[in-house]
Amino acid sequence: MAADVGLIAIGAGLAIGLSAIATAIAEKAIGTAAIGAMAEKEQLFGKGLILTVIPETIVIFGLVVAILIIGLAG
Amino acid sequence: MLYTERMSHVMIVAPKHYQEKVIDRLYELGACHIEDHQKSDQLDIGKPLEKGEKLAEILVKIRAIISYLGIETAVSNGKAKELTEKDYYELGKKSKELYLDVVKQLDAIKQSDQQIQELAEKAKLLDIVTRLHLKVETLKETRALAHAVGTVDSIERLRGRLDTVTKRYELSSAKDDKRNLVAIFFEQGKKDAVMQALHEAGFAEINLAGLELFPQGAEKLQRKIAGLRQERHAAEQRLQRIRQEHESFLLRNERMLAEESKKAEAPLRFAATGRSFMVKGWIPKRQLGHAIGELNRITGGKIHIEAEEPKPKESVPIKLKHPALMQPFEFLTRLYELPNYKEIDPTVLMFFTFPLFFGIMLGDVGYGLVTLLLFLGLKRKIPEGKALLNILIFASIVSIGFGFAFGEYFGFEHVAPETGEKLCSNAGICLHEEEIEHHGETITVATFPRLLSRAESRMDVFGYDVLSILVIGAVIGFIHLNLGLLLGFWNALHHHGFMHAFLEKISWMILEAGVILIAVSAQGVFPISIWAGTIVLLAGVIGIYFGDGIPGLVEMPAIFSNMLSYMRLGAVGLASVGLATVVNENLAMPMMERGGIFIILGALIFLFGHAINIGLGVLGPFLHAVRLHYVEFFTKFYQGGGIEYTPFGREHNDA
Repeated sequence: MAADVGLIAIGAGLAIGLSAIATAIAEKAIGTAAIGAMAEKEQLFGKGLILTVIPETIVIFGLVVAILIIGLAG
Repeated sequence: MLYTERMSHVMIVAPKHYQEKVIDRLYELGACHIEDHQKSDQLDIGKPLEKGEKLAEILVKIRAIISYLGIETAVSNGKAKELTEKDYYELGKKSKELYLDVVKQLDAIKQSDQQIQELAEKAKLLDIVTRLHLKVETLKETRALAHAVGTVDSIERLRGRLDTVTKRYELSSAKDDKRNLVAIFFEQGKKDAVMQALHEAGFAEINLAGLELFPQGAEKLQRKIAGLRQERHAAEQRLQRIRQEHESFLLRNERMLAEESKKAEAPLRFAATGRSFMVKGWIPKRQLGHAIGELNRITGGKIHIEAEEPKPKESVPIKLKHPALMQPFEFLTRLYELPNYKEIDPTVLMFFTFPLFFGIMLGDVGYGLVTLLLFLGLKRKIPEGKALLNILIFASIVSIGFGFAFGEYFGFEHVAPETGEKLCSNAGICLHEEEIEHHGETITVATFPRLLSRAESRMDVFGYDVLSILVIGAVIGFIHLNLGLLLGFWNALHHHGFMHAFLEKISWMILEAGVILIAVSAQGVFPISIWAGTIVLLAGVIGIYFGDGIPGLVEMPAIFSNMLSYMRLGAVGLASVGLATVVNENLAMPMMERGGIFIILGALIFLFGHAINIGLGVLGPFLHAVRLHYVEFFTKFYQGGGIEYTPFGREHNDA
């Protein structure tokens, strides 16, 4: 049982960790472009910010999945 | 409220001699959004009013003075009086005099600065000469004797080098702050060799040329500098006086002239023939009657005004129209894009859902109170950010509400029984005692009342044990997205007719219904055949194909991932609860229990941890709430792309 719980914990960790890395990679590209656009036109801050957080969905899904997996452990 | 301000397209044609009057009146009305006339072969654009050039000239002078004097251009209200030809002449004369005076003073300051700097350099050199016990008179080159003054790192090394070249030299040295100052006198005949030796010893020469003007020494120099300083001060004083005396004159006239020259340039936006002019623009329907009446009155009816409904393809300027309470939320709409004329303005919807989403995510009484106070304070400090801060104030209040619902106070969901008893006897807040499992032990705690615990409450979904808050998020998503689809249906219905609207929007709802039916029958909740759901689902897919084409089919899973995306309402909150719990139970509380100095340390950890969490707790929920609207909700119905309504008239800076 203890080994199962350990595996579940590792699974949850992977779910959140990998999705966080994916989000970071995606936001890196968007963030760079957004900063570039802002340098040209400062009013784009709002839109840039919004575009930058779009990949946040990935990590949110990761978090949800992690929570569901932990739920398995009971 | 659901739609933007209704507009009428107006065309005003009048004889040219009414042009100035009409412009004045339009300016006063401040209701007409002028459409710039594009020059064509048939109809040229108008010429600026005659006085325009003169006005611009004075305006440039006055603005120059304002900027030289560093006056802040505040907005002064009130209508400028009508100016006659003579007034303009006077104004022009006065502003020119002032301008010349200011420029003269600025020049004087600049010159004094320059001279003071030069003299200060000289004073430094004189100081060197004095330190070396030299006299300015002795520093003249003679036929026999040459000299060099400068700095060097090591005097011994210098002597060593010099000794190899000549024995007949005299060296005097002194200390500066950091440097070794040296003066060397030697035979003119050995100059080249000596200079070479000096160079090799790392000698840096100081040029003392020009000092012979001050043989009397430092005193005279200082007197001169003091004199210059006084001149500079006098010029500054004079500028200060000009500023005090004329500040209101300058600001008043800057504003007046700016207005007048805007009026004078207005004909550039009109169409003109030899004897008449034509203005095209947009006036809000509510103001149309009044505007037409006024224009007719001042021209004695010798004006032709035609007003008509906007045509389908015209781009109508957008003026958002909301009660004061909802106006801050226009900020969020603008941040995305202004709505176009034919669609529903989403501001009113965001007024309800934005604080709701923010509140569910932050959901803590303590945090809500802190952010509420913070934003109330900031609103005083930063009046420009009023709209955004008002939104956040609303959102903070809702967060406090959800904090009570979730029973969270700075991340504490319960307190120790002793603290609970103290609260009961001292403050009259009696908490319910409960036994919970904590790290495998059962402990008794006094728990806060709540409708739902974000971290603990679970529910059964098709046999899976899921946190309730996540399910609530998804359900809110389901409702919100379908609301979006219905709004899209409504917009399309008015745009393209029933069939198009149905296929484009309702098909998605049929698809959802199909999936739900299949899930329900597969779980055996209702005794219906799985085929019923499949048929409904297929109907939905076919509808989407005819409504949105292939892209629609590709996007099909998106509607479900959008719904799941609303689970962030729970997840972002859970992350914040998690962090708060770590700060309280794993860091601050164990510290404080150790007593003594650790209590202070624990309190610091508590403050610091919660400060970070509140920062994240504002940023995260704000961005995610905004994003849920922009990405998930707006894509179902909102097109945007409206241009801002900017009426010709006085600019309002009260926004």
